[in-house]
Amino acid sequence: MVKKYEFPNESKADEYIRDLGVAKDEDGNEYPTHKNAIVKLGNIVVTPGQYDEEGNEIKAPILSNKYSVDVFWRDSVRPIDPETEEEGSLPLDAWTDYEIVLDNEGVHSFYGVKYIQE
Amino acid sequence: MSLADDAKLLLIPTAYKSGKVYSVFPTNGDGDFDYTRSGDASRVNPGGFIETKGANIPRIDHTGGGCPSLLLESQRTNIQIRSEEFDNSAWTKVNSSITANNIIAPDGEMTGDKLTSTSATSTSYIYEQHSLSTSTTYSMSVFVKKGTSNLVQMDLQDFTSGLQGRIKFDLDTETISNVVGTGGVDNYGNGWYRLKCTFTTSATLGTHYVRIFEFSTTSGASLYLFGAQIEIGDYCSSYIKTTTGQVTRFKDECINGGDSDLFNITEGTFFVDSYVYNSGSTTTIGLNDGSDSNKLLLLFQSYGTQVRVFSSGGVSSFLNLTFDQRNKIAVTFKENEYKFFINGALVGSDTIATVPTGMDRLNFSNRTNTANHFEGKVHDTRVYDRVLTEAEAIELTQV
Repeated sequence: MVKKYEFPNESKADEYIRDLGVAKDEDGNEYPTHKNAIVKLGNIVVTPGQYDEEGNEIKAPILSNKYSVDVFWRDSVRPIDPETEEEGSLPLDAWTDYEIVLDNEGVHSFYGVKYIQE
Repeated sequence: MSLADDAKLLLIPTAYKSGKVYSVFPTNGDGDFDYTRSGDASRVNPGGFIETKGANIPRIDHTGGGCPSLLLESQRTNIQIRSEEFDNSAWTKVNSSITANNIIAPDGEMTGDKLTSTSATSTSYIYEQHSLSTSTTYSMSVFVKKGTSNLVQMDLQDFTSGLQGRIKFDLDTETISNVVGTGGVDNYGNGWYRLKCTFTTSATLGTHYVRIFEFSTTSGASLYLFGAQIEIGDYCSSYIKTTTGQVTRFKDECINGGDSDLFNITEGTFFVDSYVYNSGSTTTIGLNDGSDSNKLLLLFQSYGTQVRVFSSGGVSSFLNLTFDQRNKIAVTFKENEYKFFINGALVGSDTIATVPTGMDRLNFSNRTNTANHFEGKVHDTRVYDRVLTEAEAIELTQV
């Protein structure tokens, strides 16, 4: 399941990404312990800049003040308690406050996986 | 009998199905690997053309012809939009024009574009603005074919900090020149080459562009283009097609080959023949039991000059290795006698170590398949339940 997010800044995005879990390998390098695919898109261009024929900038591009992140959540099937039949939680639940919903694929997609489900 | 015949596990990647890579030995399926990739990815097929394979389909890659290999790559994003639509307005044309879909491209379709110079006095190029991060390593690439011109250049120019990366290529002489960063070229056949350049951006960046030049300064001179790609990373990965937006290919995961009947052994030989990418990350091929206690690993070091042989029985040896080429590595092991062979030579040993017990799987990643995924091309992987003689190990690892 692909979801799109806008955080106030990169450090807030990193905080959420880190909360998904990290560990250290044999050489002491940190690695994520979750298996979701995360793409940090950064402050995306809202309005393209304008340039002359030699590439000189006439008008600077306008960047979003939000920090964009796309996530392919591998674990998106909500567990169900067999006794109470209540739905359990998923890691993506913690990200809900920063989720955005688009009516198109946006500026980024995952190869062969659609954001818009037909 | 050849050395392959008595391997307990022999993986020469050729046969596969969705979610599975088949080993040659054992023939009962116990040596087969689980394979996962969440979305599409490209490979070179037996006909030499780039094609897209769907989710969970292993990529048996035929780049360069000859015996195929299992292609394993990390997650990568092609940030170059309109990667094969150079006629699109995303690409600004300077002293040049683009004729779309003018020639058979490396994907076997009529998707190659023609770049034609319109000036006899100035260089001709197309460019697109990007927003790259500072102090970050990028790899850029584009497929090119000779038209009436033989000189092509790809660069990344920043108007504050200057050239970040550049490669110039003569399609007649197959000569690379004027490289800024690290450059290389792959021959894709039918006159197509993939220009590759890896570079690290400056600490300060202003406005910057990727540019593709036709360099002859001859009006009417032409080149063919296909498949531009810019990605964060230390090597150019397989082609990722883009249209309106950036596209991310998921990583490949290949794990759980074999079982305890094959790997719970008191002596043996572990052999890997692979092309190892200098990825900037530590990557692993190894035997283990799913725990941290019992494992025999090849750890390809993040700095790209050594492989570490690690055994939980007490081995930690760092061996010099040339990355970005095919290497044959063998480790023979029994109690207090480990020997390491690379490309036909005995390169090290350890005489104080035990053999891990209970190993039951071979992963192209760490023991939990959460990190250190191998990045490169696997040609052959074997585990024997006997210590090959030095002569046999040297013969096996000969390049």
